[in-house]
Amino acid sequence: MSDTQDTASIAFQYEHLPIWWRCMLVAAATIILCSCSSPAMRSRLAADQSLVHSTTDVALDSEQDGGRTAKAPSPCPLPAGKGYAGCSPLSGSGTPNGPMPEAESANCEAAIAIDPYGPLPGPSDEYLCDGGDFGTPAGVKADRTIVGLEQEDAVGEYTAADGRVFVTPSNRVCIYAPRFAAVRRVVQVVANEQPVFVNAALEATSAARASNALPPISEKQRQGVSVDMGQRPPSLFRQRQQAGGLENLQAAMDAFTSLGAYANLQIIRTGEVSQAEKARLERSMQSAIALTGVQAPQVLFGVKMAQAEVGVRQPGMIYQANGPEHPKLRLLKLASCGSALPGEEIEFTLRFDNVGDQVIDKVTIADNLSTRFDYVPGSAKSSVDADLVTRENDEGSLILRWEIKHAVKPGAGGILRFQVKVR
Amino acid sequence: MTTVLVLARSLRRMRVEGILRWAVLVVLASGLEAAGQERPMHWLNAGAMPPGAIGSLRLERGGPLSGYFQPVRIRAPQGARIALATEGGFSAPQSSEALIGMQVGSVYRLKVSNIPNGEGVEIFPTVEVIDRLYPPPGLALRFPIPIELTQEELQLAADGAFVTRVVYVEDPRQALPIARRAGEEQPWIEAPLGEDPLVTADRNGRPVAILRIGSRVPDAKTQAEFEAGAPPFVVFDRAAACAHPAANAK
Repeated sequence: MSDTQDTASIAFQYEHLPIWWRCMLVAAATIILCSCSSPAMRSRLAADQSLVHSTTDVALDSEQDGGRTAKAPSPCPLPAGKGYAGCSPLSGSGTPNGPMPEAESANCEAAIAIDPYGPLPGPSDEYLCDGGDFGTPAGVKADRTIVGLEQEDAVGEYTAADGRVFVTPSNRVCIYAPRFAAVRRVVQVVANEQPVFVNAALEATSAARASNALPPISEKQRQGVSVDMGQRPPSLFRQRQQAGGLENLQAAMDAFTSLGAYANLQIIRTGEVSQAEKARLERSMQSAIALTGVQAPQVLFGVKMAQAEVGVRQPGMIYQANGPEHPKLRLLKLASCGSALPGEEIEFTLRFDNVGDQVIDKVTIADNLSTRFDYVPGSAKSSVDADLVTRENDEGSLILRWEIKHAVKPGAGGILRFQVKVR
Repeated sequence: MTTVLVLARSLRRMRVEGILRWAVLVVLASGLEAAGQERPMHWLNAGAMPPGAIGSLRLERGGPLSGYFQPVRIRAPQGARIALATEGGFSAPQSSEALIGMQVGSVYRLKVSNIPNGEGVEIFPTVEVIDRLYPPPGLALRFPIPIELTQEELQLAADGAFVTRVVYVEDPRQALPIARRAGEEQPWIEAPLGEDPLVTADRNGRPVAILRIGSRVPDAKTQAEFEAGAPPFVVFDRAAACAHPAANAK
């Protein structure tokens, strides 16, 4: 009797799947379902960009032309002796549809409100961005090599007094600079001849047509020529290396006194935040706040968890590590223009500050330029003693790397500037 | 005897269960491998669709498109004249470059005359705006969608060919590191053999406009159809478009 019961219990046990098997099935199903979510793409950043107020719109003074057309008045008269009027003086913003700065409004008084929807966030493919740390988080190897520095990333790394190494990303700067290209298809109309002729005649006709179409196709090789034109000989880069040595001899006053209007702010000059500049820095701060949640700047160095501090009082990103001492580096990035056409030059300003309570050493600022940014040789300037090293990245642009020679005391900082040409 | 039967049954169940486990593992493994492969894409639009169809589908997807006049800069060879179709024919011919506000989803017919080396030849291309740009306030006229009517393509159309040119906004992360100057000829690539130009453009960026060159010259029968449905447009002052491309180019 007992034997029969044991056998029945074994049979009952095998009739049901074991618990570990059920758990594995549930886990596998969960993994499959979770794998449906796509990774955060660059285009998703645009959706997070908040709406901002529109400028004072000038009503479209249209006059009907035959009931079908309307002529618009001059939208933006160019003042004599000035550059184009769309260059905003401050663009430290990841919010591309930000309010038009005062200077731009002044130069563009007759801007036409042709968009009934007002300023709207759009796809990010119309913007060139630089700064921040997206994709793979940047890190530092034992040989001081920065890894994970992808296109458009800009980070600073430094060593604290206790030997810990930190990486700090800058804020993100976006410039409106869409670039267009086209895909062409040429179709020869021979369909009306096909039902008329026999196959042999059709082939002869097609061949004749093809021979006519070949010359323009062969002219496409001008694309190849333009590619070659874009490649810069390495000799230019060497010259840039030499120029870096001369830059170190420049007095600090030069960099400070020649700051552009967009960067002539107290936070850039001295690193101190002024309430009077709060409005002008609003866009930078909005950018930093908006992007914090996207890039999840949680960085782990050693056994300490670094925490991002991004608030409304301080633009830029600050990483703080819990410990007896608090090394902090703030990296702020500004651009001289909010929009640019191909061929125009833009100046970037990087302001770094030691906002911690201990001396930090081996400060290195690295900026991986976007594919469409072409570094202007010799344009880099630094207010502190620094070596500029440039090398090509995988995308055909450059990685700029400033190695600050001296340790940075608490409260001290510096300014780095360089120019790029929009491709 | 009963014990033997129960044991035999349980053994059979164990074998079946083992087989089932292996089968599930094999299916899962093959499924993961298949999931890692690129999935076939079925494109909603094709470059061979009739003019207006793609823009209409874009409007159905919603968004701030209806009623917006997207600035489009049309540039023809030096000396040519551009006119837009209206209900009563064509507007007064403009110079070889025009800045026109066009609505998304509409098809605008142009008339290009005075083509260099083509005396008496008139070409009637169409422009279909299928998406818009989102520039900062006040910069819409400075960053129009460029439509290039090249001498080569006009000549091809005059010889009987049909040219389709899909203009797209380059994805900055895929853009070639080629230096460009403002105002120079728009770069283009030929659609690969057997591939739809719209698909090629979509891979490289975001298609925003389609230019079709090669329409027949209307005769007396098709004249009314040719001129019907001319959508509204806005002619902007090109010289006042906030910045001439060469103003700040260095």
